[in-house]
Amino acid sequence: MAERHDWQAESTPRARPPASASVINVETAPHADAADTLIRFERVTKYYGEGDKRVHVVDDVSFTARRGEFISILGPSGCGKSTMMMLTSGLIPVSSGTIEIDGTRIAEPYTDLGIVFQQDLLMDWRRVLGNILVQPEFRGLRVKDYEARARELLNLVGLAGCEDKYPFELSGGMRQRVAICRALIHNPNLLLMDEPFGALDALTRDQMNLDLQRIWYENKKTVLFVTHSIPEAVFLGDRVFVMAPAPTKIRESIEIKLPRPRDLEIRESPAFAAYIHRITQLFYQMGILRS
Amino acid sequence: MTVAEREHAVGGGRAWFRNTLDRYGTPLAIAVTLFAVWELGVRLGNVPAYLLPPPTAVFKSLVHDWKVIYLNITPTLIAIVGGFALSVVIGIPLATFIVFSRFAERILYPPMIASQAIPKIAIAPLFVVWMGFGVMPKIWIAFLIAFFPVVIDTVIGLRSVQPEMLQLGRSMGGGTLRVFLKLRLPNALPNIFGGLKVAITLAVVGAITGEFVGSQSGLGYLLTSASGQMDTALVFAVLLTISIIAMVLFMIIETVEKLVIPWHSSMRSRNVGH
Repeated sequence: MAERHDWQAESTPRARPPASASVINVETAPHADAADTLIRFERVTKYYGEGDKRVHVVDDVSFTARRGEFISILGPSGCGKSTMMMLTSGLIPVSSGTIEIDGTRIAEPYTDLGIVFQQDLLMDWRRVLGNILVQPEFRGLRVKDYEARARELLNLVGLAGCEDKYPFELSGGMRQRVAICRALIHNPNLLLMDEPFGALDALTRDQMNLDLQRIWYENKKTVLFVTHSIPEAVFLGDRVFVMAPAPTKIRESIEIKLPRPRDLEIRESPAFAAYIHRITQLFYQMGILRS
Repeated sequence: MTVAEREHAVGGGRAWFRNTLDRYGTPLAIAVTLFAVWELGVRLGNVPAYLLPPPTAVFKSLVHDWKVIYLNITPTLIAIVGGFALSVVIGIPLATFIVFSRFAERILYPPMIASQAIPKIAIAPLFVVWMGFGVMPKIWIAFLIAFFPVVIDTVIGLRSVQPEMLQLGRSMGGGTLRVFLKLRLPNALPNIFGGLKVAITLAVVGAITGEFVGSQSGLGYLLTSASGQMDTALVFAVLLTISIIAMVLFMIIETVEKLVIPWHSSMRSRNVGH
């Protein structure tokens, strides 16, 4: 773990590449200056496999994400959204292009982040508290120092008193809340969420959307949130990236100018409906939806 | 909730009795019926005792020869436990090698499978030639038959971890060793225990087989010498003893399993039939 931190310290933030306005797919938010930027994708392309079996998954994706921004990545199943997450985390390498987080070029697993997958991936053999503290434990940090914060987070997600339960004693929504606590315990800058509520029932999902908005609001994290639900993407996002099918690229980036905090009723507002309509039209155009 | 459980909730000795009866009543009744049929069949059919002794004769022999049986339990137990311990100590690392290296898998599987196909009774004399008449050849024969399920089940367990789980481990900064010890290994425990339960019964078979050849003590030796003297009642008494030893050892492993993996579904859903 120590080496990894050294590696981060040594790599000095390099000079910014020339303004990338000419590159297609780029969406430069007006207020995105260098200090304000957390993530920068620069013409990122990803292939799996080699030769004849080579599969083109991510095609020339460029964007920047501001600190504290909530970005919904919306696309059909199997379009390569999850691959973008894996690339961001450095768990798989890019084929070409660069990804920078906080001025550091990602060349190996980047660990100053929390990941929430569709499956909660709780460890059946650990109790709730132990499942959250596995994060500092894996990082070689002093676990004791994180216990208070773990309890705080459990409180925040409405699971106070569940510290000593085993995962099998919890419902799907509760388990995913624990997974979110685990992703936040080490106070990372960045939260990657890969269809985190995809396996939950509709009511639980609504509740989780509200809770996630609150947690994000209170913790000021940058979030990349992969989903294939249009309302969920609009409800949560500051921006929605509408992704084209594989090889995926950002078809359009839509700024969601709905006031925060948003409540569920906002989904009935004309502004909300207009966003849904626009995105639905895009999916028709791409042939993902057919009338 | 079963009747017994409801009574138990109310409390009292009667509830405990009902509970115990609920649990052990049926197997006990089956055993008693079996012995009764056996006894009746032998007596009514006038079967000579050297062919098939009635259960009463077996119990009589068990009581009469308890000392010689008792004295021969220890060497057999040492062979069983020794062989079982070796199969854990060697089997689990072997499985780890196989999981981490395709090369190790290719090299290790053929001799492992061959070792299972060869009848142990055929190689027992070889072991005696190599290791003498002591306990060692018995331990190794017990090992040879018991390690296989340990390896196979451990490999399955170590491989059955979700890929996303490994990615999570790496994103948390965990190196290979930490990911192995804290993710793969605990995840494999239910499978490993499955292998251990098969292994312990096979270790009993192995130890007895080892004692059939070049041995002056142990239940396997007692078995051969009793059948040589046509003391069929004693043969059955020893077989009964061996069965009881196997059951006790199995239950010990099960108890450890319950303590180590109380979270696993196999430990939680035991009363499905109720």
